[in-house]
Amino acid sequence: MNHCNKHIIPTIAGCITLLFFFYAPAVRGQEKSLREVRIQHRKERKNLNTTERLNTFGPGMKVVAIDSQLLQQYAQQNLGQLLAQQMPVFIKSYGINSLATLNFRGSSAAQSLVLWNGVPLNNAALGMADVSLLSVQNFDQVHIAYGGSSALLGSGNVGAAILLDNRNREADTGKKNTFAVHTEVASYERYKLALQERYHMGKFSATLRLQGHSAKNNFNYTDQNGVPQKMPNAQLHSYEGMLNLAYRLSNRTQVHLDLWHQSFERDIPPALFEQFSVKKQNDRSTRLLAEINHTTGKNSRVYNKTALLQDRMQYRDSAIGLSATNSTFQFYEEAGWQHHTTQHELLLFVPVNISWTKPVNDSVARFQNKFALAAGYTYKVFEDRLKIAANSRLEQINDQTVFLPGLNASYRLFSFLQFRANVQRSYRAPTLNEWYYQPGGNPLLKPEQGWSQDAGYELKYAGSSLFLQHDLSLFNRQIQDWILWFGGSIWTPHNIARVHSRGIETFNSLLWKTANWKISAGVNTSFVLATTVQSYIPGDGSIGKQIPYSPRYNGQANIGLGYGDFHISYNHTYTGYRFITTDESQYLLPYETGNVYLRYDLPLKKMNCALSFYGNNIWDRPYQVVNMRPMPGRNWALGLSASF
Amino acid sequence: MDRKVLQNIKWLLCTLVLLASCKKDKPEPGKPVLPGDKTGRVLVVCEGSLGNGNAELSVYYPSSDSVFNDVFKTANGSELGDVFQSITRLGDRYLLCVNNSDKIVVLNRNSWMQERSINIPKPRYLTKVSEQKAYVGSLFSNKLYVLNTTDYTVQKTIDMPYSNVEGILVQGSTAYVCCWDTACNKLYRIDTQSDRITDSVLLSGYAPQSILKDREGTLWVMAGNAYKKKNTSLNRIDASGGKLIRSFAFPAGVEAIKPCLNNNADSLYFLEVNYSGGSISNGVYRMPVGSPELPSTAFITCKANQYFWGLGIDPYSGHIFVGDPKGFVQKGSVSMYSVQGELKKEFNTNLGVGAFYFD
Repeated sequence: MNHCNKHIIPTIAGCITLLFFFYAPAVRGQEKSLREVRIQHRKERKNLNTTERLNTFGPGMKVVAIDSQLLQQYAQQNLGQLLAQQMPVFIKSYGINSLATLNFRGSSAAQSLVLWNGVPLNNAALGMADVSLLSVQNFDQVHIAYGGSSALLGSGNVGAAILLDNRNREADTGKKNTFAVHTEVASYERYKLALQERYHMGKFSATLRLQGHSAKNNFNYTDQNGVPQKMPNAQLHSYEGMLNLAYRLSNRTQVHLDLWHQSFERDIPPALFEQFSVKKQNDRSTRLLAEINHTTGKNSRVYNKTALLQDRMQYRDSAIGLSATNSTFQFYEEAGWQHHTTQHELLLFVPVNISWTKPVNDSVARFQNKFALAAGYTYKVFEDRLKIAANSRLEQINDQTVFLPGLNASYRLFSFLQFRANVQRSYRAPTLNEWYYQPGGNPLLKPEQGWSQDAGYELKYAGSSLFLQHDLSLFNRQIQDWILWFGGSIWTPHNIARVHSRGIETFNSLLWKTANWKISAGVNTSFVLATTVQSYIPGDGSIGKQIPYSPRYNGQANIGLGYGDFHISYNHTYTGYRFITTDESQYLLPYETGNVYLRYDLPLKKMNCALSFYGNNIWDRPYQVVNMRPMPGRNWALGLSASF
Repeated sequence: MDRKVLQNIKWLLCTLVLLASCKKDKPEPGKPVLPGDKTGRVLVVCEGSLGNGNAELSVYYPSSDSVFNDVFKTANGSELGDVFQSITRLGDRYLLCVNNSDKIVVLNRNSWMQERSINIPKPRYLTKVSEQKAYVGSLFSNKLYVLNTTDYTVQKTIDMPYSNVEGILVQGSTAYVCCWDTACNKLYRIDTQSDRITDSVLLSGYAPQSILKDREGTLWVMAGNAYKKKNTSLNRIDASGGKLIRSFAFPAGVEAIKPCLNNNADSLYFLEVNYSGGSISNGVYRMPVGSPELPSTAFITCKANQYFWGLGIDPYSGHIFVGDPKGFVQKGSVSMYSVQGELKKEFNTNLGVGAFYFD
């Protein structure tokens, strides 16, 4: 992006913000966008998306939906920020502008899947997804499936899966067309402009989302000598666009086409031990997905989806004359058939996932081919109070064949109390980098495998003005041949024998509302013990010790107050000690952040318009999520959204 | 019904609090102390884990069998930096090359306090040239830095034909310099008076990295970069004539590093490193300087899933010190062997044992 283009986003964002400030009071509001989102959220989906698959064939799995209000609140932030502030998960963020990966229940970054409309987004070479690159605004629904669900979602899903869906891929004929714009001005010269157009005409519907982001990110921090500094080399320029097309061929058949392109030009700031940094990283991803859903009879449906994904990462460090470009490709194909009766649900599907890359310093392209035959079956009795599901997947990964069974069930004892239990086999083949990266790839690496169990209950009370929810999960997982990267100058992945993860998670929320008032409160907690129990390393000091960067304690508390068109909420997060080393000899201190969110829906007539304010880390606490990578202190963002 | 539900929830929340309190989160590290005695100590260079800024200095006293870890942090209250590559003593000061922090830390030998920091990009090894001068090699650069050791300023730089200046040996007014560049197959001679390259010696392999002088006065140059497809070679050079007199070629893919000589300078020791922790070409190797061929078996063999990263020979006792970095993800360990290869002692150090300095 040249110098001129770098100023386009801030200029446009600033102009539109000013424009709205001057002209917004002239028009009157009619409908609250919050309510609109909620109505859509309740709408039943007709195509067989991944969330529906889990709900139908994983009644004993813990699947958490991020509600529409939270999606709206975090629309202009990335998925990593949403999860870190609202979910009991540890987001390993290397700091502003840098990689952010997932750690669910003590899992490694490569052990959790991120699925976009059912297609894996994890980088085929790295095996992980950078959640700092996923803007919440791009998705209509976000769900988290805790625990392993390899049979339904594929191998590699050990810790959890994040399901990102675009609801409007469905041909929602008859809906009105909308155009929405959001501008944001924030600390550290951050500017953002996002546009969204939803268009419906007859059997055709389209949603186009565009956004650009520019930031200097020159936040204040204190260096190792206690001297205040401004963060250099932290600029960000990004743009992305997503197009979701849907066409209803007939009452029984819908076709969808989705195109998503992202480009991020990021400066990588210096770590505290570095004198300076001139590192730059450019990430570009292009994803194309075509899908057809067809209802074959009263109780049966078939579908087919085909996707091609490319992730290109260029890393440059002119200080050492390094410039490396790595491109990975994924071809994903899945065909399935679902049949249901009053008591039985059956799903058969055949997923194919071929990924390839040509590692730097390697002479040939390396492939990982996954072919699978999978089935899900659910039996419902006692008026659907008891649901028992059995799932299985026979998957061939290159020349290895693995059988991944799973069994889960739920039982609604009372209308307000439901129990669930889930047992799954977990399996993760080494990624392309783990096998072939030069230097350091380890072709002798064995796959990670084991079993996971989780069980829990949900207490839910919904009165006329009071809503209470309490959910508790206990989990236990044993993974043999856990993969961990070792090394000094040359990093090499090794199998470290056996890791035992177990813990407890709770979700607790309360909502009290009247005609004008709404008060909410919530606390989410997690306690995770993820320890090495057996090791292949001679004299290993990690036995019985916590896996690095897996906090034992993690929790979030929320409190919200709404009156009419005004909403304010406060969020507080706590993350416990994180060990840097496998023997717990080095660690990072716990950190807490306090964050506020204010929103005011302007009473306009011809459009929905809202002012929003975010304050992050409002207590200005210095902290590091990852060693030597300082995080920003108090910072804010002012946003203006309008739709008509 | 409502009341009952609320009571249940309250009970469950209390249980949760109790359950969550069952594991103490706060670690309890021991209180480190600083080593005092200056004689007969072994300084252990713990390079840390690349990108984590957790390099440190450990000190071991063989006479009392006592180990001091976290020496730098204890004395200075801050982290040393990222990738502590080497240590050199100049008088009553230690100069610590902290590679990925682009600095050389000058440490007081008595108090362990940092006296100053010299900014040099990616410093690797510092070699004393005279009482007022030292040469410092730099990774990713063809610059050889000439350091004034009186005021610790960079006097000038010498442009080398290739980048990555590593091993330097000073003999009289000549410095022999290795450029660990995969395109380089020469050993360069520099006149230390004029700081100019005067000559070069052709080697049998590429990427020269380390240089030593044996008891016969001949030079040994270890060269190679296995991951960049440059096979390792060992070159023996007649220092007076400046000619290659013998060369040894390692099998393709073998990474041989960190050669050192025993007290009599008649036996060469080096590490072969198998990063996957396999049994082939993995351990400490030994060969007499007069040997016609490379050793075929390890003198000290690595166990499965282990490789060594530090090697040094105590000039006083002749004991062989071997560093196991244990993956650079936990405390490293040092094993001390007799000349016969008998394990005498083991102790834990800071992270990533890479080298030893016998003071």
